[in-house]
Amino acid sequence: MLFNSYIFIFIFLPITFVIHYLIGKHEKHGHTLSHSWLILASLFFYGYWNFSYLSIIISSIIINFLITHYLISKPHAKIKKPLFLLGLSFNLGLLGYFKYKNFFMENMNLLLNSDFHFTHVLLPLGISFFTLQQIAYLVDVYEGLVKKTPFHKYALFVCFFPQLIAGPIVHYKEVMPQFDDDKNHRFNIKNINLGIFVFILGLAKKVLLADTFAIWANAGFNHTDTFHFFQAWGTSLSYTMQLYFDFSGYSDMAIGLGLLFNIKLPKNFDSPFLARNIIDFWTKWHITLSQFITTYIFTPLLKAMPKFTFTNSMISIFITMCIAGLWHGAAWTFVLYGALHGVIIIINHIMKKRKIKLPKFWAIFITFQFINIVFTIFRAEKLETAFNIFKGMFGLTYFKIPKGLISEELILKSGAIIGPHMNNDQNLNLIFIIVSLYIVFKLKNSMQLMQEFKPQTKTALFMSFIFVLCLFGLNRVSDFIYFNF
Amino acid sequence: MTTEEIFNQVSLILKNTFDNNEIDLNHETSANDIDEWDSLSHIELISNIESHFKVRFALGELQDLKNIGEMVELIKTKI
Amino acid sequence: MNFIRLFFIFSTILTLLFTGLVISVDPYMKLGINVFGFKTKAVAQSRENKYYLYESSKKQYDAIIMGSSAAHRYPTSTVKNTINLETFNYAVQHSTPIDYLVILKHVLSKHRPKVIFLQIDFDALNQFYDVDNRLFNSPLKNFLASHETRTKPLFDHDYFTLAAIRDSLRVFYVNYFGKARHIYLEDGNYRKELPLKGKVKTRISSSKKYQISNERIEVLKEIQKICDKKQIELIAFSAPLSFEHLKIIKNTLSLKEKHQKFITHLDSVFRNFTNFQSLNKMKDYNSSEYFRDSTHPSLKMSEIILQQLLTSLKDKNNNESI
Repeated sequence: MLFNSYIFIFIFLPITFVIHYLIGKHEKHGHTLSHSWLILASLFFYGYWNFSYLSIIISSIIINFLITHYLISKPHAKIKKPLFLLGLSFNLGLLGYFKYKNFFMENMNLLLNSDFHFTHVLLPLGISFFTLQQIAYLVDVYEGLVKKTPFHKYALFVCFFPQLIAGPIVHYKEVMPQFDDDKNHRFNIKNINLGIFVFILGLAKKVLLADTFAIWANAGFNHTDTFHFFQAWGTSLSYTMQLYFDFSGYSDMAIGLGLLFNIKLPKNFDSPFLARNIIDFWTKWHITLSQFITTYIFTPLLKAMPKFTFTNSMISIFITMCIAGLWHGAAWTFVLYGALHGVIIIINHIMKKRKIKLPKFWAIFITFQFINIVFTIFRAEKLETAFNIFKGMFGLTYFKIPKGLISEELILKSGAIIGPHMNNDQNLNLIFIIVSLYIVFKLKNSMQLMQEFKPQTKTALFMSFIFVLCLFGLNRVSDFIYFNF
Repeated sequence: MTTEEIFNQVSLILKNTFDNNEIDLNHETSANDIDEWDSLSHIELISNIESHFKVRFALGELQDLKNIGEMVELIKTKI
Repeated sequence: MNFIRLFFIFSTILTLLFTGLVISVDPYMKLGINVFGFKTKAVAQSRENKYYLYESSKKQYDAIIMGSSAAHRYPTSTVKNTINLETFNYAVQHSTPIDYLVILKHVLSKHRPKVIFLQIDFDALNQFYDVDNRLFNSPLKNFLASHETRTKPLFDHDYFTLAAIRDSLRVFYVNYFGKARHIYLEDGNYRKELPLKGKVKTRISSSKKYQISNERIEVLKEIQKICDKKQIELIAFSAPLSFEHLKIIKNTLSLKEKHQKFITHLDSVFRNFTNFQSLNKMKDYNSSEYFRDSTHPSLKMSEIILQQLLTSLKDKNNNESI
């Protein structure tokens, strides 16, 4: 099920919400019952998309719980490490099989010039996320940081539906205490207001902005010819905006939904395009992933190095970023994505060491250029497409200045991008890009707006307006209607 | 060891790790206050603290150690 | 509680307002409503536009091209230059056999043509592919038999979209401030477009279920009967589909069977039927040069198809005269 759907907003959410609070009122077992209800609802949410995925997540939860439960109960020293390694291999194996089997097999076929036939595996939703959450838990359990946890709390931590499919990646320390807290089981109107507010912000980002940019980005990336200047920039920026609004919008929705249940989920984005260098960028983009990677991959890697030299640190950074890239998807473009970020982070560290600093505007501008370029690589299914776009962006193909903003010629020349029913599309794309650049560089982000939220009448009006637009936006015209003025 | 003693030793290690004797430190000082204290040097700092005090921090504890006061408290529980 | 209540009230009011706006404007002419009395809705509503084009033209059209949006690009010039007949392209979007019958009646009410090219889509015989409501709102409705008229629907699925809101506002704008641009040119020809390049985009019909409608086959039989009576050469053909699209049909078992039945039925109903929905025939035309998308042939492809039909027609006539 998706957050941005009628069935979620009008059926799943109200029912889950109401029953959660009704059940939670039970004298003795309110906590356990409402947690169990949320677990059931979350599993239903997960299985709605594809029933067969359920067995994967359920077995993952159960096996991880059994292993960690046993580890917490202070087992014999000899068994501790093997058990931990078993748990780790299970999680990585599960992830490896479902996410990377095809990638692995394809590359093996390429390398060995073989032709093994293999059935293509379908990727279960959210497996990258719930696997990481459980690995963090497992490691902490092994290092003795975790007390005994009842099954229903653990299961809820893993499958709580707001953060199940696309994060934020939650560290158990952040949510377990919240599950316990008595007052969280009581209806809290402040959280509800805030939750709806943030949810709507996220919904708008996804439905009104991301999905619109997706149309241009997809058209551009499917284009097989050379790009000229405006097409190239239009495509590249559209994708960067799409990715940002989609992902941060989804995180906003997750946080808003969490609040409806009095659970505060961690923030995942913090105006990433205002970053002054790439190091800074990763403290503002997919924050929960950065934290996980720093704590559980980078740190042990660095500590395992013989000496704390600058070079060793840079090597660790590079390896970690390649792994981070690969986590995003099973293709070499993703590894390249990570590697490129790794290289620039290294350059940034070198600059820091030499105390080289750029003036604010240039720092932000150059960082943004780099981010935009690497996202284009991230999206391109073939490197060739990415390079065609770069050629267009940096003037190695022809440059055409439009005659004024409304240019028939420009529209006609971009024929491949404009579908039969999208007149003046290039202009609309430009407007959307300009507006979005203003939003990401000048306006407060959703987390800041959340801090300043006040339940006033004008806020309610604003929220209703964009909410209703989103409701209309969830439905796309099916008919081939050609509108013409 | 008292909190003060631990604090003094930690301050020394910090100044050594960041190669800067001029840093002003108190219990509230955090990574935000010191330029040289980023995620890289943080790990080096932790490593140095571990070898000096002969303690071990779990990976999961590292995120919490973003200011000196907390560090000192945690070290105290491990000695 | 107050805030939430306000939110719900505002949301409900806004939803009703937007819905009301779209319904009262009826930008795509699907509901037959025109509360504000707009002169033009500037929609590519071919049933309106082509009706008036045909009705008001001084020419006597001896050849008519009929079909769906896939037949929009068949150029009348090709027919005129090959067999020297004034031709009108009366293809309308989302058409089904009833549209063709009604259009035939309209055409006959003015002038009897000598030739009719009738393109049939795979979906046209599908029971689950609805008859387009706009037929019942257009001037063509006057040619419907009394039992065929339909009560106007109250709402349309496509109206609960942002596009519908935007287009409703555009209707206001154009009628008060702007000028409408026409996409149907003289003789019903389609406006000029720039050719596409690259792979063909595959558009599979939204109606996943497929059931051949016997009712619609009867309508096609009636069309053939009328043409026989009026001595009109009816040249029927299946709409060309892209190679990839045909492959999908061929590889989907249920569709493959239905498709074979589709062709068989058309073959038996029409005296002169050509099937273009074959992998063999379409394999040389597998690019955007020939298809705007998998169900819409480009101008170039349309010319090729017409030429093939005209060549067979000329051959046939030559043979007969011998």
